Amino acid sequence: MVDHRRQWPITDDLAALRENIQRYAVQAGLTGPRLDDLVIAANEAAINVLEHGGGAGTLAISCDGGVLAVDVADHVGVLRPGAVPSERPSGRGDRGFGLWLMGELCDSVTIDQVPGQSTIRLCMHVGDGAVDDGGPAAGSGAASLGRSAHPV
Amino acid sequence: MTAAVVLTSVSAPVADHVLVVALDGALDYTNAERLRRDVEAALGEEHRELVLDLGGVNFCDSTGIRILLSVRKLMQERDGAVTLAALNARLARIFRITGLISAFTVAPDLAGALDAVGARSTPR
Repeated sequence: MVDHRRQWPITDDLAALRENIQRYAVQAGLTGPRLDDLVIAANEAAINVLEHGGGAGTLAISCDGGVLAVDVADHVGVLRPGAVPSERPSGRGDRGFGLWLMGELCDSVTIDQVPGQSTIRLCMHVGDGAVDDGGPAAGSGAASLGRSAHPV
Repeated sequence: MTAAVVLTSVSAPVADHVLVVALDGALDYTNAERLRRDVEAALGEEHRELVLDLGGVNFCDSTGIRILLSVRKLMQERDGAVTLAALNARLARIFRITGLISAFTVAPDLAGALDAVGARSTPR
């Protein structure tokens, strides 16, 4: 049962942050690859804060009306709405790569900018019903993801 | 800081030109740069094939991807190549989404990777 918003500071302890996000998202009903996608995307947003967003910020997570939302805020406010590239940037080292990746992984990515603060919001639909049966197939993943396990 | 450490262990030589490195943990922003330094330190003049056993890696972010690509470049500069072995489902997915999967030879397990680099024809 998830009924309230949680918030953590963004530090270089990304492993702990990922664990916190994962725990909340599981309780909200996210499973399988989509759970991984959200954790990866939130991690990218946190890296953005550490690298480009002044090195400090907060990550908040909430679930309302079947939508799980992660809000990642920096204390700089340079990141502007519309900064998420629709196509993969050629240079993998720039900030755009992480933003592009978030867009690929999440149902929606929006950026809110006010003086001194930019907030990336990552959203994942978790279904309308409150039922969380923790489906048996979600974790194994081998069948749907096995294709890439062959030599290229 | 907790966890999130990539430990590298270098296995016994399988062939003179092959270096096998096993990674463990989460490859992310906090430790990816260290991985590159560790790999560089482990590489010898004779190594042309680098096999990274990722079976123990449960997470990789864009920083990890960047470092793997820079390691690939490093090997290419010495006319070598990198083979990735034993990606779990989560890694396979992120590598495929980012297109990284096509930049490397990928093998289902370490034995397959050693086959791919021709290391197993050499007596141990």
